[in-house]
Amino acid sequence: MEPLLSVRSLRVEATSSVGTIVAVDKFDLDIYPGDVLGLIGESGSGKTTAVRSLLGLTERNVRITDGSIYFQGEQVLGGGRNDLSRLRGRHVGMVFQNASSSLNPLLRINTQMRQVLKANRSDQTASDRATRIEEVISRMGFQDPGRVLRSYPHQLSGGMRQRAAIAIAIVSEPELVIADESTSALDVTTQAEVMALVRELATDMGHSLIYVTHDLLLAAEVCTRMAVMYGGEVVELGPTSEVVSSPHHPYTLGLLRSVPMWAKKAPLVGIDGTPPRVTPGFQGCRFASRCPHAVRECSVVDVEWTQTRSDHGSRCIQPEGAPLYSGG
Amino acid sequence: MSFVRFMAPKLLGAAITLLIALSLAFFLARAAGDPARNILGEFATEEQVLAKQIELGLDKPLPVQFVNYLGQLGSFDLGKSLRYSRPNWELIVGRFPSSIQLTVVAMLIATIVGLPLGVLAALKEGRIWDRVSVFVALFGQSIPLFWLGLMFILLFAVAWGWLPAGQSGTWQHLVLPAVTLSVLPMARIARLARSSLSEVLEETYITSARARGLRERTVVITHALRNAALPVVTIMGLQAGTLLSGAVTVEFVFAWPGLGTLATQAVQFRDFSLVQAIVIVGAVSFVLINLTVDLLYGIIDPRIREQGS
Repeated sequence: MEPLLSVRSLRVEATSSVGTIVAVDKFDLDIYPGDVLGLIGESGSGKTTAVRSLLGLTERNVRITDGSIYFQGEQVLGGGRNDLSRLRGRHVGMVFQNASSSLNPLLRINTQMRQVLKANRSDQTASDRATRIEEVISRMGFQDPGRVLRSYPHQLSGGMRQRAAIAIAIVSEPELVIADESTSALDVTTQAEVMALVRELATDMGHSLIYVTHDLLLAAEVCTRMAVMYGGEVVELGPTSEVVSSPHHPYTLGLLRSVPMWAKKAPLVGIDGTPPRVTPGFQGCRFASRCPHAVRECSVVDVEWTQTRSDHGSRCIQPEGAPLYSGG
Repeated sequence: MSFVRFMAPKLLGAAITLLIALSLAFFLARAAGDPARNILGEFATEEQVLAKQIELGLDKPLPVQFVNYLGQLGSFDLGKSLRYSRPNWELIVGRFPSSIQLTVVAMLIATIVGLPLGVLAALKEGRIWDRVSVFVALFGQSIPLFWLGLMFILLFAVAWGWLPAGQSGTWQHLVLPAVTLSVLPMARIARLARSSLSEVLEETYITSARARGLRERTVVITHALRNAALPVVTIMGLQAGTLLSGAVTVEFVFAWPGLGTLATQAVQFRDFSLVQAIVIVGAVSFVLINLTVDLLYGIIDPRIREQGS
């Protein structure tokens, strides 16, 4: 099957007064139609920068310095092109972390949805748009969808706002939806409801979904595949069941051991230390300084990606070879 | 209904502000010495002064005077000018159109130049337009208006003879005073538009609007500018109020027959009754403009509109 979205060796750098840091590096990703992929990482791992870069939505001091992106087989970044803005809205919908800051406070939900359709679906008439808006909003599980459409964001509760934000993101039928920590700001019950809704909408309509989160447990419940990011790199990628049951990368293992449900009888273990500041000259594995299994080589050579199965791989010099489950 | 609830507290606030301004006008007019003595001059006899005091009601205790004063205002009576022996209201009405004309034109110039300058500066932060706007803002806020007015007269009226140096009548007469008067509000509007817009452009809902595939023009105009409008509208109201209630310096330099000139003359002639009346009219216009700004707030931002309910 041809991937919907292909990202190859994406590199993103952030420049500030203290120098340049590499926010995202060697980022490879294929998203297939119907895919539900969890992009996991702690804050600062580069996951948000990575997905925002896919739409060219980085902040002023952040630049894509290398890599190529293909959408439906067509190159949209690299080779002298940058058509990333063309993907926005029409092909890729984005749901942000906090709907109270991502919805324009001065415009009604209806207006915000209509703007998206006007910008991306010039083939539609005004009544087509109204019909489409009704259709989408009625699937969001609101008791009174009409009232939501007429409301300003501040007149809705947190959960309702996030649902409205989802409706805005999917109203123009994008093939891919990116949800960036979209439920982190909600309370647990609402979180589960909204998450279920996102997943249902994505799979029902055959859309693909990238779910960006720091919450491994939540991602494991929702996603069919998982990509784990650390220090701007994807360190492990595979089917959720595989990644959870036999992690290849010590960082993934560390994450799993810090989740009470999976630590089982073993004591809960945190990961010592803090993530490194990755400057352009950084050498070796980014996790080496915190890795209990690190050998001298780890901090000297650039670690290549190893594909251990057709659908599971990691960026570690001893994938599966390390005594991951003993000791530590 | 919600509109009434929204405006009711603002109206109450306006009434209180007005009462305070009226009281200040009353007491300040009496703080600068005995008005009767001021009018008659230092060679007047005690009897003459006393007669004048009785004529003006100044012989009564201050609280009584104050109540009389408020009662007079309550029946829309602004009193009589001591110097011109005509109702203050007539004198003010005669000058008001000139002041309004000058204010409106100056505010138009300030907005038409200042607003786009601030917006451009915010959109192109750090580039040439940004520099230009920062320069205009600094220049406009630091230059003394009487000096700028004199320079304009020297260049455009005296040296080149393109425009009249003063007085009123044709549109040419309006150009120099209006431009001079527009400099300060222009600077304030540009500076505030720049800072307010560049702050809004960093908001998540702007990134979010871009992520929705909206055109950059839509993002800037319907999403960013409207959110950045509140502080700019506020400063425009304040500036318009200040100009309307007497652009004393500029009117004086250009001999413009507005309220500012009338006020200057009234002070020179120690016409405390007229000064008081001008201060009252100024305060009322200021309060009315601010009420309009409050009304605009409600139109721009639904969150503010609902605060009343």
